[in-house]
Amino acid sequence: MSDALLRLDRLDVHYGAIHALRGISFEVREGEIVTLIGANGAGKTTTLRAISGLLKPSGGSIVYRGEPVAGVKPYKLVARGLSHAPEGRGIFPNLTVRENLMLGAFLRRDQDGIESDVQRGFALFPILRERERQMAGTLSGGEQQMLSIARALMARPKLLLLDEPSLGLAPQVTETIFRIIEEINRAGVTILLVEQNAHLALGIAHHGHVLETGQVVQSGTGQELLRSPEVRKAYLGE
Amino acid sequence: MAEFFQHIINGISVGAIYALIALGYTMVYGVLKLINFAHGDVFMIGAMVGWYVARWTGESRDPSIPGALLVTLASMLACAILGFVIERAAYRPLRNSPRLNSLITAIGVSFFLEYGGQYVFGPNPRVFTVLPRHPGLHVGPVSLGYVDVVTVVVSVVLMFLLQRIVFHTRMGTAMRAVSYNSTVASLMGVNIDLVISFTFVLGSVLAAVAGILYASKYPSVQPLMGLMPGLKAFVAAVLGGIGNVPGAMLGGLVLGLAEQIVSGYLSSSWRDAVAFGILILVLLVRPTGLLGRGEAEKV
Amino acid sequence: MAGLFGGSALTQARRALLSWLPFVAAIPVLWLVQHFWAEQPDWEYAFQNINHIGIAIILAVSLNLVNGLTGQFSIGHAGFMAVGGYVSAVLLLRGPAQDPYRLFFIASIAAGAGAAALAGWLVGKPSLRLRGDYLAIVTLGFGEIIRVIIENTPLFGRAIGLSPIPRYADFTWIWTAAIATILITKRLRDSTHGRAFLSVREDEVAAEAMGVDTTGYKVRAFVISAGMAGVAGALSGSFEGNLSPQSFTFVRSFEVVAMVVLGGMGSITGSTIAAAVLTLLPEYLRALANLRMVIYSIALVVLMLVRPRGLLGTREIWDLLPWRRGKGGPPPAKTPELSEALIDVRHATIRFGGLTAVCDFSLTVKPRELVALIGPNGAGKTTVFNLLTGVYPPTEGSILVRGRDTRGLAPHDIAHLGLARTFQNSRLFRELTAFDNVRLGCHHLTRESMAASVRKGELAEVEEKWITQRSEELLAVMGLLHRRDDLAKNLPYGEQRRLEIARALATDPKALLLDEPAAGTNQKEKSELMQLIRDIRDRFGVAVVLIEHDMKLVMGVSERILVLDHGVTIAQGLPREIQTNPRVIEAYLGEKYAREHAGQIAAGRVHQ
Repeated sequence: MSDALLRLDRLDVHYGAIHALRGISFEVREGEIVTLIGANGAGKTTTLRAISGLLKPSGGSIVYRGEPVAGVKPYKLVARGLSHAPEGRGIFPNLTVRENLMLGAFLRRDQDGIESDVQRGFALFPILRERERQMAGTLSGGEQQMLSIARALMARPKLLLLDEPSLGLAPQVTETIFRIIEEINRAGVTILLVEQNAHLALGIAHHGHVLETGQVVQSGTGQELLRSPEVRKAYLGE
Repeated sequence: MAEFFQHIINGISVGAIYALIALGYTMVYGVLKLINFAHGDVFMIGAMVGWYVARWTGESRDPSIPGALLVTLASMLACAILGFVIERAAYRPLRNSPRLNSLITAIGVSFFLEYGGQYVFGPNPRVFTVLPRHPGLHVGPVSLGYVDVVTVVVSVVLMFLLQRIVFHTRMGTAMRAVSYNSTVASLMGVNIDLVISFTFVLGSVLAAVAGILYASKYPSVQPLMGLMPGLKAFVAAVLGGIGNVPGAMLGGLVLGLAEQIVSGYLSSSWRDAVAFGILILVLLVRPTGLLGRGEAEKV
Repeated sequence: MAGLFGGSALTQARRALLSWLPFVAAIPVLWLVQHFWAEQPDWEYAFQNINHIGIAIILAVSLNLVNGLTGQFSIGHAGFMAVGGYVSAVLLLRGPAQDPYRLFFIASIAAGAGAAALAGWLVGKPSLRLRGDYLAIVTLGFGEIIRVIIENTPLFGRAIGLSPIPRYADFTWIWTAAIATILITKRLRDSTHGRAFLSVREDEVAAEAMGVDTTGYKVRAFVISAGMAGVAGALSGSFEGNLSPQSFTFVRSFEVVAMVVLGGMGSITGSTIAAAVLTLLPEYLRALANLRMVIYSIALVVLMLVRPRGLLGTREIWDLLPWRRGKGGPPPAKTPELSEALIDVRHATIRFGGLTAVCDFSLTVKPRELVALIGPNGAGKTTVFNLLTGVYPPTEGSILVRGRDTRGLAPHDIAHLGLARTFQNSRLFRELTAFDNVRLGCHHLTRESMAASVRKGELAEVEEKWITQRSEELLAVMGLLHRRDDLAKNLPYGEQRRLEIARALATDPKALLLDEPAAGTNQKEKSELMQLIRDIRDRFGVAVVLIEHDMKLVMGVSERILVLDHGVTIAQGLPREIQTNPRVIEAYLGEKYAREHAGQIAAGRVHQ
């Protein structure tokens, strides 16, 4: 248990009167890809937002790198290597691709390191190099998603939270993005992935958890969940 | 023709002051989407602090350039603290409430500064002398008042500095990021609270300088002096496209010029109506202001 | 309609009298109070304050109609007050010296109110398309312009003002007007029109989709509110005996806004109480001399920090007491069915800037048909709904709803033609109860005029009863009756989605457009939803167009499927055909889906 990079323990979140997360517990070990699957409104995005500090949990604990971080402001967590590429990408449409990337490195001061990471981002997503001086708002959906991931990497995270990277993307683009997510993971970044597309997500994940109405109802390795009849019935459209 | 140039020069000078105040409105609006109605009164406090410091240092009896600088710096410092405190005490607790609430709080703070000013300072205008007397410049029949020249020079320098801060520093980058999308900005590691405090401080410092310049131009200070210039500056900010820094400068200039031309050729009593008339026309034609960008609502 | 509902002239007269009884009864009481107390010298100061409160109540309650109920943001109320005050004062100053029955005085108030209402219309008509802060600044600017015009017009006494205005307005007049204002606003608020105002505040897009003419309602709220402010101005001038432009600066408007916000947005009793508190506060602080306004402003800030939703929130003071609720009744009458195509889209294309969102889209929906629209996210499915409901006009092509070309029609007009929709990220009126959400759906079926609502006419009453029955029945059908009085935002996710369907059905549609109704629901809810969609079709005789990602639901419920990809219709046909269509598999369903369903599909073929 001690080698968990991130551990959630009986996490509760309320939005006003709505009990959005009801005692969620799971952990993410260093080097893993862990995925949360479930229907819309099940609490996947809420979980990510609570982890990255955008939401204050009403109960339970979040332990990141051995320290409790529930309610800690997002900027402090970024400084400790936790990056979150939010749902809907959240790129700055009126800034250029390069400016967006530079904002991802907001807390860093090593100019050379930043530049080499920009180049590394371009190497991962060559299309972004072509769009370097373009306003991010003019990018296609897939390109914006790539930018969002590349930008999150600019903070040199240890743990990367990805929210619905396949949202609104054509299947081929989705496939590319998932291949790159695996590549990023092999380069040593731990990934917590929220996905609608349970097939793809479980296919690359070491572990997965199924969320339903704010609770973890099933957990297992990616392959176990892919084979589970309940998951197949509920999320793989069978 | 000479008369026309005279109006233009006056217009630029008044417009520059409006622009300085408008920057405070527009920056705060950019990061918080809040109309900080108390901003005009921060401008007034800037002038008032200047008056007290000038009296205390003897500057008002024997004006000098270094003395004027000292007075201005003191007033900037006072307004910086004031802006910081207003945000912390009155706006931050309401950051997640409906925006109308913060607006009422802003109005409350505005009343507080005005009536507090009347209580401390007395309701009557007092003469304000900080800059040394100087006949000004004469170019043919057009005369450039000394205060006008100083106003324009100081404003241009400040706006240039502001442009550098907003577009070429880390804090400026953070400000822009927060104004585009504060949630995402926080995920990039931006400390939102710090940025908002900084924005208030920056806007208040500019308002302090504007207060000193305005008080030197008319030369008097009184507790309600922030009311009209504050409102006009807000109009200037909306005119230029609220949340947009170059827009605030442009809006201030347009407003100053229009006012001076109308009071020159028509009557000064119609001046205020013209400011709002222009605003309404511009908004009806370009609902997001001259340089503002529209946002379509997604259904 | 009159033949259906109207009784004899006698009953109507009796009804009209009864509806104003509380008001009519109040006048003698007010007069007695006036007679016995207000004219006593000891009470002069007290009644001066009481009268100021009365005027403040008129201002706050009327502004509440715009800022609180309709959710628009006006900060130029003092301008309308000035218009009313000056118009009435100019008339009074030139009127007959003797006005024993106060007829001329009444006429002057009416003229002031009319002028203010006209001013409200002039300002509101062009500027209400602006939103939020921009509308605020325009109203503020307008108020200032009025003041400047007054200061420059000799007729209005320029900066000095007008005096002596005949002092006809006294306690009786002011409080009669104040009570009338409260009564009118309350009755409007409780009628179908009041719910229409609220729907504009909660969500304009959804309101349009329910058939509410949002621009029309905004202008109406503005005009009524301005007219009432005009009455306040007229009374104020005639009470004080003078008018000066300095009384109508934006500071005055701010004070009224403060009363509305402090009372609680939309709460009439809240506004009334806040008007009294904020009028009295500076008076009670008078002992503190120069400090009183300082303390007043601190009190304002502190009140806002301590009670950010105002004194009463959106509630009324009687909501704090336990209250009763109505009973259900028989179902509404069924409408005859149609045989022609309900929806007929011909070669519709829409571009946003350079991007073609939907290209050459054609679709016919017949009555009672179940059609599904599927495709990857961003394929343009919701855009098709937005085209159908008139949120966007097509760049090319035409859309016919029940045979009528919808070009140039606003969403609320199309709702009247019989299209109702739900939204992908549900757009309920979150701060209203489930019951009110459904009742709002019935809004466009009503015919009562605003005047009738205020009068509580018979038609209004019959319609209210009918709306109540219909709404409760719909809630019952959706299994939501136990949630009747819960705020929409407090319902669990699945119930919110059902409530949205109930609301859409309340508009009595011919076709129901459902945008991802199963999103965020679990498997059990999904199969219930499947049954529900079929039930809705059978029970209400509507056609259903469905956007959905859940293939089980889509394949299970729909009779016909269209597949969109990048705005292009790549396939259409029976569910079975779609499942095996290679283009659909490539663009949307995926190889895996096809492989895993191959067996089932083959099995299905055997059965056929």
